[in-house]
Amino acid sequence: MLTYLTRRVSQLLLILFVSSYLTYILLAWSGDPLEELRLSSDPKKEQTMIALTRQLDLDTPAPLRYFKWMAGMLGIFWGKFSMGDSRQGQDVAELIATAIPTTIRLVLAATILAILVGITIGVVTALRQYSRFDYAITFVSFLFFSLPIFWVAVLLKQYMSISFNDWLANPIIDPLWLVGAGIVAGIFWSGVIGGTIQRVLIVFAAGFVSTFGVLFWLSSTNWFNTLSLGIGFVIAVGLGFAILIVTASTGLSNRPALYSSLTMVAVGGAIYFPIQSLLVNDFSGWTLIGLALATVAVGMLSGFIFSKEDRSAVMRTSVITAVVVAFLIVVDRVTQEWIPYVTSDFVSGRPIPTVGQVNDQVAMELLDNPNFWVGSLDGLLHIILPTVALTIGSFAGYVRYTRGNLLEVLNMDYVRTARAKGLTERTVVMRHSFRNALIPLTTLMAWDFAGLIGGAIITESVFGWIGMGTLFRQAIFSFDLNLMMGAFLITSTLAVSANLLSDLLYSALDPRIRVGTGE
Amino acid sequence: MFGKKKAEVVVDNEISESNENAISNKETEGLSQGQIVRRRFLRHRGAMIGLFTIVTIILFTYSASGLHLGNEKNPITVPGWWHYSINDLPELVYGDACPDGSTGCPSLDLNPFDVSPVGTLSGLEGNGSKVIATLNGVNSLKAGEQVVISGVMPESFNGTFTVTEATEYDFAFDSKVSGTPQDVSSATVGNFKFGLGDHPFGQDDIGRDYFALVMRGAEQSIMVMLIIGLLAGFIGTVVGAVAGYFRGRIDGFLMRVVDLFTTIPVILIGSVIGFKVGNLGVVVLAVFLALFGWIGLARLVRGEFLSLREREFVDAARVAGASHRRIIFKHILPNAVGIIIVSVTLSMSGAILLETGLSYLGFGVVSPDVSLGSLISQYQDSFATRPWLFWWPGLFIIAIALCINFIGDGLRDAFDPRQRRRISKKDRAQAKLAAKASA
Repeated sequence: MLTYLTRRVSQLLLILFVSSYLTYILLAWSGDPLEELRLSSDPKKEQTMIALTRQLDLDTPAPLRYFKWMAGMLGIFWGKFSMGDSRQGQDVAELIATAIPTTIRLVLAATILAILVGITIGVVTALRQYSRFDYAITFVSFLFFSLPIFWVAVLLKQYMSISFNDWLANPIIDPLWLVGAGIVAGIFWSGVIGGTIQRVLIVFAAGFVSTFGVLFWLSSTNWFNTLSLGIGFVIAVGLGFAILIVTASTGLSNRPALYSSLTMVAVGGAIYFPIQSLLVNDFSGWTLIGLALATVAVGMLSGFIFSKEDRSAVMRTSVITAVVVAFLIVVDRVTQEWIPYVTSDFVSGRPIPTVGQVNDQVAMELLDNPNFWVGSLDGLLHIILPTVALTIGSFAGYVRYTRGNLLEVLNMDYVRTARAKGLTERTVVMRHSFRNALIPLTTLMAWDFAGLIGGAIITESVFGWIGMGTLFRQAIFSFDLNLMMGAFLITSTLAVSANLLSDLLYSALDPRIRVGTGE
Repeated sequence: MFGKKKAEVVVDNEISESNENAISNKETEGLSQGQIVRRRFLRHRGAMIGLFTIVTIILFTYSASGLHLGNEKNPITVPGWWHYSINDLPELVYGDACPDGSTGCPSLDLNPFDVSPVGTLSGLEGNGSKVIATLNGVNSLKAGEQVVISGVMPESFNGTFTVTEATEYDFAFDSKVSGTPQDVSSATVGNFKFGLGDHPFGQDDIGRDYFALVMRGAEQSIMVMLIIGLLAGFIGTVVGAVAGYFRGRIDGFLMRVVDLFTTIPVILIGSVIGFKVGNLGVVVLAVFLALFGWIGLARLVRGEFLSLREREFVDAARVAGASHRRIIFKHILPNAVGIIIVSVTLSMSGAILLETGLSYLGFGVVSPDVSLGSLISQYQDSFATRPWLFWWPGLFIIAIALCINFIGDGLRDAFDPRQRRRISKKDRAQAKLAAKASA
């Protein structure tokens, strides 16, 4: 394993070295850093040109200049790391260091959301193969696949931000919309659940009534202005999730799992008020990690106590429930800041911004008195639009891939065997098929991540984020070779590392693939 | 989600599986692989609709703006049927013609009942078979035009009529009703707006016809898409075939080159290249982009060749003394053509998104030439006031990409040997009937 890893990493470094050399020459060929000055009528342009030539070392031809630049990079081994200076004389490494977290945040949120939604929908379409639901999702995923992100972004800005903010001034849902949302929800759920015509009609009615009812209730109680969730929300939604998770993982007939998960919800309700004193304004990352570990520990403990047999499945189920309940409590804590945030002068009732990664004024305010929750809320509201736009782009791939893989696995002999043994359909689908269908997805995840990182140049430009993409774009316009190379190298390193990681993950998940044995 | 009907489903599957095999075997009896693929493709509804739409779009756009080849210095142009080109500067429409107070609004109207007023009428005289009236409006009418008359007494003279004669101010029509029309101050005449009008998609800021711009942009994008698809497909196939067939050192070398290219994010290198060569025209841009777009296909083809070259029919050909070239082109390539076609098709939809994305950023097609991406980038801020400037280019991108994706999906299904058509109830019934008849 170690030899394999060493070999792969050294191969990778070699390839990155060669590709960066070629890219450097290509980039150097692609423009002339002095072009603007040559055309200018500035009387001092000769001096500026000489100064710039010296600063950028233009007298050294590009194929040689690369090695000087590379020497700076290799300086990492003796503590003098440098990616060169930009045209303005800033340190490229520093510029990139501030830009990377932005891009990663942008891409990671979308990747995770696309994976969750895409895989879920993909599984459902595979189980409902050749149904109307399947055809509808196929069409929708092809449509999403064909949407240019910069076009979607404009629509999102108009309808999810500007119109939504307008609507928030008087958040009453139009009756027509209520009915429409109810019908859409009814069709969706009846498509997901399927079955006989009678069942479809019952599910449709239930979906319609519940969606209509909840939205009507939220609208009439003016909930959208307050966004208050409270303990009731945590318990109610927690219960719903607990039942859903148990159904999907062990089945409701597994009583220990059910009771253990319900206990998790009860614990969540019980500690709701005490825990608030821990979720203080200057909440730190360490507390978060501590609480997360505690959550997992409580889940495992409860599962351990309740279960007599099949211990791991019960424990797993209750840990998942515990994490979901903890997440709900955190969501509730964030929304407690909603009213002060929205009514503040900086936001003035228009919470969803069209551009930018943070509200500058809020950020200034937070410098003086730090508040983790306001910062989170601000960040979340800013990341909504880009995440939705990127998710729309990646969603299709996950749906199609999951569907195809799952269908392939479901036709395998061992699935037939599992069925013949008399296992329940849930066990066959979730444990025997689904897990195996997920393995090839690691490759897609790496490709998708790499694509999104590269695609950040468009996304960031549309949403006014300042990350690697923006840096690269500015560098092209001003022909800033060092900055371009820096952004290039980091982007391709990230993409290549994601690929390597997916290969390792693949071999860890699939025992048929063994690494380190050559072929 | 997990129905309780599984037991019966399993049993049902067991019984029907042999039937289904029989039905699908019957369908492919005595057909060559090519015929089977063609039949499957033609039966794929999504792919057929996609193919029809994309062919229509291509014919429509290319015939509208004509052909524009060559560069700025030596243009080769074939005129199209649309009366404006992207260089024309007609007067910007505003005021009465644009009801919502915007400028350069679209004249496209698909509602056959929409009537726009031409002017008011006075001095009606004559009888039912020939009514003469004076037109008080800016626009004059032409003989043969359909007009809508309203506000005239008696009521029977109101309705839709055909103009029989028209001068600058007067016109006549045959109303085919008896009686004499009276001169009423409220009488108005209008004509139908249905149709393309002068500027179906409106006009841009300086008055250029937006229909012409969108057609030009779509033309560019289709050209880029085809060039990238074909050129990248060609390079990828050749590299993959050579690597997979000859293996050994040449394979090692080519695959290292592929690895090298994999580390370079296409959209970033595309931006740099587009910035450098974008002004040289769309063909040059497409060729350069294609040089970086063949990696995935090369991998795929190599894998296919590696497995196909071990098959018995290749051995047979080799024993019979076939040359490398003959084995590659006559024996292996036809068997690998399925994945090549599918992959190339699907890469085309990626190519159009890449080109429009680059043009959106300002790194692709640059002014004064237009692309669908640059149009969206230019007018995205006008969405609230002049939404048509944003909708049309976007709709063309989506329509083209969507059609390509559906065609690709149909091809994949058609070439996939494991793919079986869903056996419908009708097929089952037919098979049953046939079985009965033969028994």
